[in-house]
Amino acid sequence: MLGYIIRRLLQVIPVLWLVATSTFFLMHAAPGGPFDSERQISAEIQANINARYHLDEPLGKQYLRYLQMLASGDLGPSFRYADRSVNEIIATTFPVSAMVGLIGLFFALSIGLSTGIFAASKLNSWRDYSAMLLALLGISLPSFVVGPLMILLFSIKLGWFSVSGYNRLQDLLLPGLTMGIMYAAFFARLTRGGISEIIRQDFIRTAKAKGLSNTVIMLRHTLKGGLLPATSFLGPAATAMLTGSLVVETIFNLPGLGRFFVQSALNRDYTLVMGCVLFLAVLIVIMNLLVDLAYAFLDPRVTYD
Amino acid sequence: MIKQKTTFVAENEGGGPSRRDLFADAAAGRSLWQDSWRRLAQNKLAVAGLLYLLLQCLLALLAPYLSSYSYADADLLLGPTPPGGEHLCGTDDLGRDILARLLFGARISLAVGFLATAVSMVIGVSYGAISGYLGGRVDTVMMRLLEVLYALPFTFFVIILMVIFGRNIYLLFIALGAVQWLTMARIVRGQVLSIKNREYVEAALTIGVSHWRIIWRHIIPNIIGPVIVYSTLTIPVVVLEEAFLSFLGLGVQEPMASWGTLIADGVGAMETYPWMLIFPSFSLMVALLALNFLGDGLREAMDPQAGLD
Repeated sequence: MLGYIIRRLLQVIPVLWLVATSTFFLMHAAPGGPFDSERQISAEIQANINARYHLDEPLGKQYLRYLQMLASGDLGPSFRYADRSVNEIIATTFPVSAMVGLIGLFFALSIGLSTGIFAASKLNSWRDYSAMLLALLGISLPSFVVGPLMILLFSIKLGWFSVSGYNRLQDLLLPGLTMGIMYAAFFARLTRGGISEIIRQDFIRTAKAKGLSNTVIMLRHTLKGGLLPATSFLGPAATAMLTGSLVVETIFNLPGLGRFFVQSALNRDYTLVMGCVLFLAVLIVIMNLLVDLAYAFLDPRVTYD
Repeated sequence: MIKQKTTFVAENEGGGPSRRDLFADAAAGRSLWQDSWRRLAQNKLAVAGLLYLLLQCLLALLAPYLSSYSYADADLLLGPTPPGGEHLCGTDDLGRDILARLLFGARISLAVGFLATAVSMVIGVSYGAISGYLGGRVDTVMMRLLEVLYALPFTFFVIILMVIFGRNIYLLFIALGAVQWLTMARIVRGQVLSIKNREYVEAALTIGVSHWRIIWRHIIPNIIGPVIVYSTLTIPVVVLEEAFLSFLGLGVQEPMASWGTLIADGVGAMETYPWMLIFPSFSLMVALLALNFLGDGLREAMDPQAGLD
């Protein structure tokens, strides 16, 4: 088990190398640079700036220098925000994105799992069908449609939340809900599918024959196996919520990582773009690992070695 | 099904109906495809989705003939007008007819959906089929690579590409398709892996059928179902992704419109001119819903054993 975890964590290295290399050359292939501006600067100053950030060196040398820096855990200075390092920017913006993501995940799981379990316990009844129809509707609702409608309703018409920005923790409630709805729909479908599969198994029939109540059967026998499909979707969902925060952060005007990322790509802020992508890649690897471990816990037939 | 029928014939020879009668019955029987088609036709939601999509495609194709306005015709003196009368869905703040922009926008959104999915299908199926059929070390290496690729934040790559190379619509097709093939490859590989070890493939090998013929006659017909189902479910994902990029201002360029850019415009004006948000949002939602209905219906029709998910 420990060996498996270590091997999976080592997987981070090729991922990081691939990400670093592809983003590095992509960004440098882009026309324009981080210090282009409307203002004319003298050639001397331009040369100084380039020397300061090693932009005057050949690309191969810059690449090696970047990898070297990376190996020591340093993502380098931001090109655009002169006195801030990329590590610093990520450290201040990521908590906002993570908070929105967590709230979204909470909504997605609580709404999704309860709807799925409800539908599965009333399999093929009108309740089941209407719950699943609702879920299909939820899947077809993009966050950039839900978000503005929520602002229109809850912030402007009802005045419960601030329209945009992030001052208090409850300002993250609407963004979280916006993000959670679509994934709640996915979780509901997966949970219903998983449970309806388990319900047909012999051991459930045995449990029923023993005279156990439906609640006990659901909690003790069905749920563990029935949640497997939802669990395997947890990794991609959690990842998507972090990257999907791009839109939500734009709509709700939150100072999160996603918004910084789009801005830094437009600014050609090489180090910041690469820092964001690398950071996310590590996060994805870790999340996928956690999901796989949870999988082994839920399904004893799955073992890792 | 048919296989079982023939063994049944062999066992009952003499007793039951004559052999000829049974074969006549088998000839009049239905193929798996006809079975699937029947099941699909019985699913009202899926049929409704299919019809709606056909209608939407037709409207998008005929956009220049249906609307007397073009997506770019601005009328600054007119400005924003509410729906009704001359402009069925109203006009935006530049006085452009929203219905016309929706119809032309549908062209972009649907084209991205279909073409990017086709790109993902080509890459995913070939990758998965090669990996599964060759097996062994090649398979291990290819699957390890897939695992690594799964860990890449692809949305961010698409954004970087769009930022760097400008908002090129063809690049958008390829970039979105190149991002979506991973799961397709996995599905195809799994199918191929299980099919190539079946008895009938072994039997074909022993009588000297060539690899290409096995792939063509036995492997492809068996993977085509899951591929169609998964592709249908990929289309709404891609349409959504395009709308998302356009919403961020990275998709198609003004004055061209897609559903995503129209929604983005609508969000900016939602307090004063709500119709600018409502009509595009509604178009996108209904199209996504129709696609999902159809995809779900196809999945149930082609693989009745698999439940909802």
